[in-house]
Amino acid sequence: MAGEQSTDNQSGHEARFLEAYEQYNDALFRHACMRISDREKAIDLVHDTFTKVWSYVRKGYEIEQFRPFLYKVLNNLIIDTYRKKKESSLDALLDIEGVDEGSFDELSESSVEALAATIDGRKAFDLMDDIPDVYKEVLIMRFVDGLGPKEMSELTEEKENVISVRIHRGLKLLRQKIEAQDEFADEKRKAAARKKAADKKTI
Amino acid sequence: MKRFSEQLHKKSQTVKLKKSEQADLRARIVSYMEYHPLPAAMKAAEVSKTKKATRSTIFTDTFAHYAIPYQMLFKFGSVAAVFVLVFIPFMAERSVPGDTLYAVKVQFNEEVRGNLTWGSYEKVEWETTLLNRRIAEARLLADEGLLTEEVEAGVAAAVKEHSDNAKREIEVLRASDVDDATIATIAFDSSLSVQAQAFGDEAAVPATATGTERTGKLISNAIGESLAKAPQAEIAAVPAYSKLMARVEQNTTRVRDLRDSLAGTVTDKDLADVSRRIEDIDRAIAVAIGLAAEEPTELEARIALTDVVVRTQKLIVFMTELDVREKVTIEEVVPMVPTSEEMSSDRSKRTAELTAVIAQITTAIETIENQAIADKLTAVQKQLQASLDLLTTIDDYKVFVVESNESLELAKDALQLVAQGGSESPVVEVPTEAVQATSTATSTDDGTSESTDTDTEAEPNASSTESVIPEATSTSTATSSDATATTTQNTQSGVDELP
Repeated sequence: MAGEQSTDNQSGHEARFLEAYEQYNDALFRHACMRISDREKAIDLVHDTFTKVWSYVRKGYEIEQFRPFLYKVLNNLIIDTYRKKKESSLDALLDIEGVDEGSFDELSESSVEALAATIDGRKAFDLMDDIPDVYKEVLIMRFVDGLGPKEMSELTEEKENVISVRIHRGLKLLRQKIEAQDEFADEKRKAAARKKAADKKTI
Repeated sequence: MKRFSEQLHKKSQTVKLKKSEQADLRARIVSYMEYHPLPAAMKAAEVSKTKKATRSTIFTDTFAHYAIPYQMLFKFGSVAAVFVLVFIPFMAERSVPGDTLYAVKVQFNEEVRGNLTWGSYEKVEWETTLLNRRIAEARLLADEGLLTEEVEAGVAAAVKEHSDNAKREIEVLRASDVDDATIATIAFDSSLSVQAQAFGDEAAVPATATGTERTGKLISNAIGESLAKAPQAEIAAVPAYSKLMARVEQNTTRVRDLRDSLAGTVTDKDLADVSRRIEDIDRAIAVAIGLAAEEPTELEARIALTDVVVRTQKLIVFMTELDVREKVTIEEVVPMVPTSEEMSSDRSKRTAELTAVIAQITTAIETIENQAIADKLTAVQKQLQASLDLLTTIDDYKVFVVESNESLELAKDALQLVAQGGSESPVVEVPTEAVQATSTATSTDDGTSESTDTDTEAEPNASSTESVIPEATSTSTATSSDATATTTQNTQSGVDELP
């Protein structure tokens, strides 16, 4: 991802950096925007991401692959944002949620697929803000950014199993939210129908 | 899951930066990069590494691509072209045989100019120019003592080659236009004769004791051979009046241009000499025009114009070739032609001089005691009187000059005889002006001046005595057979033997 030692092999730094910007600015913005749900703030985060990476380049460090490095920096900035915004830290949140080793179903990829198959993606997108960030983070990485388990593990500095559990639980949460939303919509619709029928009787 | 991920992904794609936001963000980042540039050391390393990286990515020659620096090639190519096509030929023009650039001069400069010359007449002129160049180079080398046998042979061969080329072109020209060919021959021959004159004087100078300086005999011989080969018989066919006049106009224009260009670089006297020749030429042209106005004298006009062409051509060579000017005088190349006033004045002066001498001789005859001398003087007096009578009847100035010269020489000898004959007789010296007038008149005799003077010096009495005073010759031959042989020593001895 990023070399830790200074090297002379700094070929086409500016060109490579700008090329990376052109290639990933939109994806990074999307990731940030979906994570923090603030468009202006997301733009600032993307800007800060690139300036930090450029400073890193200026120090003489070599970046072999920009994509994971950019996501890593952005992810750190998002966590910093959360920390400033929320009193409870992410770690505390994680403690509350509990990160156990997970059941067999939660670790199984097929079960994730089976679970996802029962969820409407469009509704899931709208309800993404309603689930905790630890789940939202991995779901966005997995289904929006298309990152693999290993990449996500490196970015979040968590084990792959933990990532899989979070994805599974995140999907379950989403399904519950969707089902709850559907039930609420049904009840609302039924209530509306009842009210309509009562109004007819009164007339 | 695929359906879910597709739906989610598709929905998420709606979240993206607007164009304006994207541009603004890019501007902010680029601005940040400008305010926080890479360290200079990194940039330098970057350039070298980039070059190496570019080279290292090429695996096979088939797919290798090389950046051709067209701009640099064009820039340096232009400089090189200017150097090769302008600077080197310009420098080569000053080279002489043996120099590095001489080959460029002969095989590039002159070949290019030669190929750009159209028309046989122009080619003859160009060959003449080349011939003059070769001779000038040889003369320059000879002056510096660098004319080796090899170089001289090369120059002689070049002279012969250019001469042959010129003659070949003249023959080509003759096939289409006889008049032009004749005029070209006249021009070529005139140039060659001037060079021969200049080189002849030079060749006459003996080589130094060291033998390092050559006299250019080979070149002189080559010029002589070329002159000898000149088709004199063909020159005899006088060209048409109009063509001659056209050539005369060209030549006189060039002569005037050259005269103007010489102003400031030569002395006033030299410039005046040139101007005088131009005036002479103008007068000759006016005369020729007058002659051409009438049918019977049209041929004379053409002959006169031919002479003008020769004189102008010689004058051009004299003025264009600096080394020729240094070797020969303008009088030797183009003798001065006196005006009618000058001729009239000279006639009067010569007649007066001769009359005065006759009067002196008459007085001397009366007073001298030596009878033999008195008889001799009487004979001379009669002869001079007859010559004086004859001179008054001669209209042609040239004939008049020749006749008067002979009479004056005889008169001079007679006066010396008077001086030797008796101390009682007063010695009358020949006036200085008369001598000057004689030399002036002699010099106008179209190149015969030198021979006349030489005859006077080397054979003081032989010709005049034999031709003008047959009695005296017979007397001297009868009295002393070896006296004639001894008369060649000097004038005084010749006079001694006369009685």
